Amino acid sequence: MTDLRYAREADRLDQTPPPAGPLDVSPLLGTWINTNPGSRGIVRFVLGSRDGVLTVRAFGAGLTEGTEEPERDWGEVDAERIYTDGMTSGNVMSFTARYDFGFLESHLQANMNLGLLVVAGYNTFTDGSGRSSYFSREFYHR
Amino acid sequence: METTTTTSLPWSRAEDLPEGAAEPGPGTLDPAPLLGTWINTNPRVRGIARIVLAANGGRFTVQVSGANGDAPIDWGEVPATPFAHDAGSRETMAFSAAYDLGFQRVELQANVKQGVLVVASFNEFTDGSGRSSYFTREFFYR
Repeated sequence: MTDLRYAREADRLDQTPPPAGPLDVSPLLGTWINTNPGSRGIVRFVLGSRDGVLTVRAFGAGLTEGTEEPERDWGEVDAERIYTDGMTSGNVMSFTARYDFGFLESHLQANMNLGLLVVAGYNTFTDGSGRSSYFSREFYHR
Repeated sequence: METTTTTSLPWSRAEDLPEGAAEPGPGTLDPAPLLGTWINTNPRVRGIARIVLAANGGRFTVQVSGANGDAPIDWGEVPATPFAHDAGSRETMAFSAAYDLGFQRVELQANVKQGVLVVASFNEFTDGSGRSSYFTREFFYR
């Protein structure tokens, strides 16, 4: 085990073996609501599971055109990857997901901390509008 | 949350639309606010010990040193992508970068908050060692 390659001390294995089998995404599941009721970003997430794969459904702030819906349904995507809180841990507490809107790519990175879901967004416009790529971070409760 | 959609620009959430003034003119993000050598705030770090952010000939780059006792491990230099505070801003306050170390892929997502560089690492082992993909967050000062 100690012969494994590493690029920092934290990645060295000592005596603790990594968990066996697929990781359980259930700690993340549910509906997560933005702690800021005036958010101009993502107002809520619905995290689900399909055959053990974490699914992500986001809702953006703003009226859906032609309706009274106060949010925009981005649709459901599979999480890109899931992450634990350590390399010998089976405790899933983080994920990444990607949305491509055609004019904008949003890369979302989320982790649980103290019962909150912390979501960072790295947003890049691809429509030549001159809008800057921008970063956002928002907090969600269940 | 109500958003007036008088713009012809497409958007996924209200914050995709620059507030107040018109959209930013042509130009690129200036990484200058992030440049320099950032040191981990934890003197007993076992993760990333140091990050050097530089701009050379229009290239924005990141160079990571992994903690390893008295012999830190140089991960080499890779391109970084800058992000602004919002869609109407030209001021860089975040970046993303990716390393493929051969046995491990690391995605770095970082932002400056109150003078501290907050770096989230999304770590995935690709060497079949069974080590779990894991998430970490560390803090750096200049």
